[in-house]
Amino acid sequence: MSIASGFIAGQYYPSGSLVHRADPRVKLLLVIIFVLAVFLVKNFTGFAIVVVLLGLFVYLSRLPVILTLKGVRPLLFVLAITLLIHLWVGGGLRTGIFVDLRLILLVVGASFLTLTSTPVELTDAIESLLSPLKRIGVPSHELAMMMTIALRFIPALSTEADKIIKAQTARGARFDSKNPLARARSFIPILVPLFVSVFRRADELAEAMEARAYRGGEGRTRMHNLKMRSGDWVSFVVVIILLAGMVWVGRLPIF
Amino acid sequence: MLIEMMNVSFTYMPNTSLEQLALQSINLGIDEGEFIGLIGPTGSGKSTLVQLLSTLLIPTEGKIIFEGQEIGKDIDPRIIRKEVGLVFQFPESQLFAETVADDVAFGPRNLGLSEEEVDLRVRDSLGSVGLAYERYADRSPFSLSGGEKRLVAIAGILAMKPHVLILDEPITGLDYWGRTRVLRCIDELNRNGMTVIIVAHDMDEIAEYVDRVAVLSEGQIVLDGRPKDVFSQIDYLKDIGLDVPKTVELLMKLRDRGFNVTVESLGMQPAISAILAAVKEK
Repeated sequence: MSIASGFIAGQYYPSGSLVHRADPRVKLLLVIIFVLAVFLVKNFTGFAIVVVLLGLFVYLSRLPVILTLKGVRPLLFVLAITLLIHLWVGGGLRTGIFVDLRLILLVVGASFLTLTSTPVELTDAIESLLSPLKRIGVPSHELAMMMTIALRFIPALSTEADKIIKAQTARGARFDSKNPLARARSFIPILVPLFVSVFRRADELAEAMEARAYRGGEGRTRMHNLKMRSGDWVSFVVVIILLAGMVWVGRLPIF
Repeated sequence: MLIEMMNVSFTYMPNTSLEQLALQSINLGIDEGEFIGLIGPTGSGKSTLVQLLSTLLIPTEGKIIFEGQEIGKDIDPRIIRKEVGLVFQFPESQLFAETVADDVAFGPRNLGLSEEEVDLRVRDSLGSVGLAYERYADRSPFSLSGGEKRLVAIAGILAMKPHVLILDEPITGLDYWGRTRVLRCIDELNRNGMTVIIVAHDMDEIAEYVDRVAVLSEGQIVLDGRPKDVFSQIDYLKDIGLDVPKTVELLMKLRDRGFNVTVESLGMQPAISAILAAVKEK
């Protein structure tokens, strides 16, 4: 458990594997298709194939298995409820298990993506994949930029929150009241300064960007250009075929 | 002795790959009523040291004695937090209440005091930082100037009536006016008997106020003494990446050129008189 403890679900885990080095657009598209495919599978044989395929991908990406499963843990309660509701209200055990399996595979698939791609790679991939939609007015660059900035500020804000908590503790603040209302109130002295600082930072960042003549995506060049290599194309096609086969078997009228 | 640090070491995130030794075998005694300047280059452990003194951090090794009682063993750290007021860096970023009075009242209310007592303390502490209660009490802290905000934050700590006041870089980022106001107020508090520890990077302003300087470098106390003795080690201080007050530097340079200046006091006025006297003599 030593790797998994202190590791946040969905955090990037560098291992330098083949999967890590693949084009993030391929990974993003394949994960989306994978999730859709999982919803089309309707028998246990199909789910067995899904699990084997996913296991193969995890093996190829040299991730500790426990990390890929970490995102499921907070979901356990929801899974249990889903199963119970299916047993009670109708639909039966089979559908209940299927729904649970789909949820688990969905979460594992998504964390597989974030474990093998850095946030920057992912936002680049989203920008690139959305760029054809620019013609109908979807601001793909701006959306990607917003995501990048949001991700970039998470560590800064957690440091800031830590500092404010310490400062208020030094003024005798306590956050361990038994009364839920009092406990909620005790967070005001942390949240207000945090929001003030978020707005201040946002303002400063906007000014700093404008001072460097940032004016959106128009005509911008980039430092790291995403480039599809032959290996990316091959793995894309191979995985698509595998997923198609999986769906075909998954819809056969067998167990 | 009021506070005594005995062989205190502190390591961040011990036993992990991110382990980092911040302080190493610190021995430091603080007497009642002292005004101490704690200086050191960035990353030397100043902030860690003051957080240890206010029990926000617990030493990984060694012990801290407060009035003869060992913190964490003979006495609850929470009691010490009441006795040792810590003003963080940029304390104005902790302001949150709708009015100045409410913000200053946050600490005393947390101590569970009666509303009359709280009100009394708010008036008292706003008075000690030189902000008139009538003018400031009902204003929003966010509408004040940078220097005023910082004074309000300091008042918020004073309202807890601490025995010792520790300020982490209290004048950083203020304009000349703000710096003078904050320093005068701290000096006044010390004259009225409060023990004050002030952490600073820029020694220029605080040199003339403090009566003792401790220098931290790479987690250890390397110099500790009267300001003029510490600052006479001009080469050593520069070596570890510290600036000496400009007055000291000027007086030293004049002395090297054969002027008979005495580096007795570190303030601006005494320096000017010393230089004038030396020039006349020549």
